[in-house]
Amino acid sequence: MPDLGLDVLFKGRNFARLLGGLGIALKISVISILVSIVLGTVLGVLRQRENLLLKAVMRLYLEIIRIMPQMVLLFLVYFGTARSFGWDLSGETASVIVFSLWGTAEMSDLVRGALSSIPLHQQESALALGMQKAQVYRYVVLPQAVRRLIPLSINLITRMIKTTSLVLMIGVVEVLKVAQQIIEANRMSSPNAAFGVYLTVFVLYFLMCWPISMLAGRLEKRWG
Amino acid sequence: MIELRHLGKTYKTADREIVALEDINLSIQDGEIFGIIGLSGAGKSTLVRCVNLLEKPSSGHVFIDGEDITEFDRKSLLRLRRSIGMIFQGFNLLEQRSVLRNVTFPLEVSGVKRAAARERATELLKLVGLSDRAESFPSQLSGGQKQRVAIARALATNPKYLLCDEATSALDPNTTRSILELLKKINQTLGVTIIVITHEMKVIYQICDRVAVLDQSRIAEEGRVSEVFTNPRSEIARKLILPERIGISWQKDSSAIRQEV
Repeated sequence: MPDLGLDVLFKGRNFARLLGGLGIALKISVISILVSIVLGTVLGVLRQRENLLLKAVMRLYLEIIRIMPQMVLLFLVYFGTARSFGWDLSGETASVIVFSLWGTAEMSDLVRGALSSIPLHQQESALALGMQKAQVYRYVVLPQAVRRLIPLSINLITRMIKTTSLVLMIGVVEVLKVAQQIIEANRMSSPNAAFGVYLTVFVLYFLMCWPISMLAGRLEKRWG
Repeated sequence: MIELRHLGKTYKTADREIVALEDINLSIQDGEIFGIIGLSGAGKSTLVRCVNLLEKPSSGHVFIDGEDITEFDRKSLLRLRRSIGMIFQGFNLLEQRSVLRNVTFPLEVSGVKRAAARERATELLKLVGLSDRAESFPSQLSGGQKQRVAIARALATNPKYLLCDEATSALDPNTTRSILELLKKINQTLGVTIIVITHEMKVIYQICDRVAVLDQSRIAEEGRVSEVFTNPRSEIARKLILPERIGISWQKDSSAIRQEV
C-alpha cells in the first residue's frame, strides 16, 4: 500500500487544527447563508411587484454578481475597499459580505422563480373562494413555492459551503489553508502528506454537505 | 340580479394599451343560466372576473342585487366573494387535502366550526355524487370527478351565484355532458344563478337560458338561446353556430367555412 501520509494528521494538534479551520469555513458559510435566506426571500417577494425602478436595480445587481467570479469579488471587497475607502475589513468580514451578496442575489432569483411558478389561476381560485390575500399566500402559494424552493436552495447552500475554500486567497485561515500549512510544515518528515491531508479535507467537506442533501431529499419526499 | 353597466377594461403594458372589454351592458336575472360565448381573446374571462372583482374594471359599474360592488371595501368584497362561487378549467384543488377537506376549506378559512363544515361538505359531496370518494385525494380522481369536487367546494359557502370559467373545456364530451347536467340540477334544486363562459356552442344550447356573444371586446348579440340559434343576427354568432348546424353538409362546404372561420 502506498504511503498516503495520513500519519501527519496524528502529529501534535494537526487534526484539531484542521477541524478548527473547518469551523471558520462553516462560520462564514452559516452566517452568509442565514443572511442570504432572509434578504433573498424579502427581495424575491419584492421582485414580484411591478416596480420598474426596483426591477432595474435588482437586474443590475444580479447580473453583476452572476458575471463576477467569486474570487474577484473577494479581492474587490478585501483589497479594493482597503485602498479606495480606507476600510480595514478582516478577511472573515470581507468573506461574509461577499458570500452574503452572492447568496442573496441567487436566493432572490430562486424565490422569485418559485413564486411566479405558481399559476395565477390558483390564486384567483383561492380569492374567489373568499380568502384574504394573506390566506392565499399562507395556504396556496407558500406551501407550493417552498416545496419547489427546497432542492434549489439546498444546491445553493452546498455551493456556498464549498466555495468558502476560496477565502484562503484573502488570508483567512480556513480548513484548506490549515491543510496547506500542515503539509508545508511536514515537507521533510512526511513528503507524501499532501494526499492524505487533502483527502481528509475532502471527507470533511463531504460530511458537511451530505447530511444537508439527505435532509433536502427527505423534506422533498414529505412535502412532495 | 347581476347588472353590468358600461363596463370597460383596458390593460396597460409598457408600450401600449390592450382593450379587453368595451361598453358591456348586461342584466342577468336571478335563477337563470346565462351563457357567454366567444372565441379566444374575445374578453370572456375578463368579463366574468369583473363580476367577483378578481379584475378591477377600468370603467363602468357592476351592480349585484342593487349594490355597486366596484365601490366595495375589502371586507364587503370578501363577503361578496363568499356569495359568488367560481369554478375554473383547471380545477385548482389542494393536492395535499382529501376531497372532503377540499370542500371544507373555504368554510375553515371563513371561520366555520369543523364539525359544521364537515357536515356541510358531506351534504355537498352527496349532491355532486362523490359521497364514496370523500377520503380520496385529488390525484386519485378523474378530470370530471375533480370538477365535481371543485363545484362542491364552490357551493360550500352557500353562494347565490356560480361563475363557470371554461369549466368543461378540459373534459371529454361525455364528462362534459354529465357536468353540465349537474350544473343544471344545481340551478334547479338550489336556485343558484349560473354564468357559464365557454367557446363551445354545445355547452350553451345544452344548459343556458340566455346567451351573450362576445366579439372583440364587445357584445355582438344577446338573447334567448333558442332565438340566437335559429336566427343569429351577428356574423360572429353565425360563425360559432354554423359548424354545429350544418352537420352532414360540413364536408361539402368545408373549404368555404374554413375560409370564413
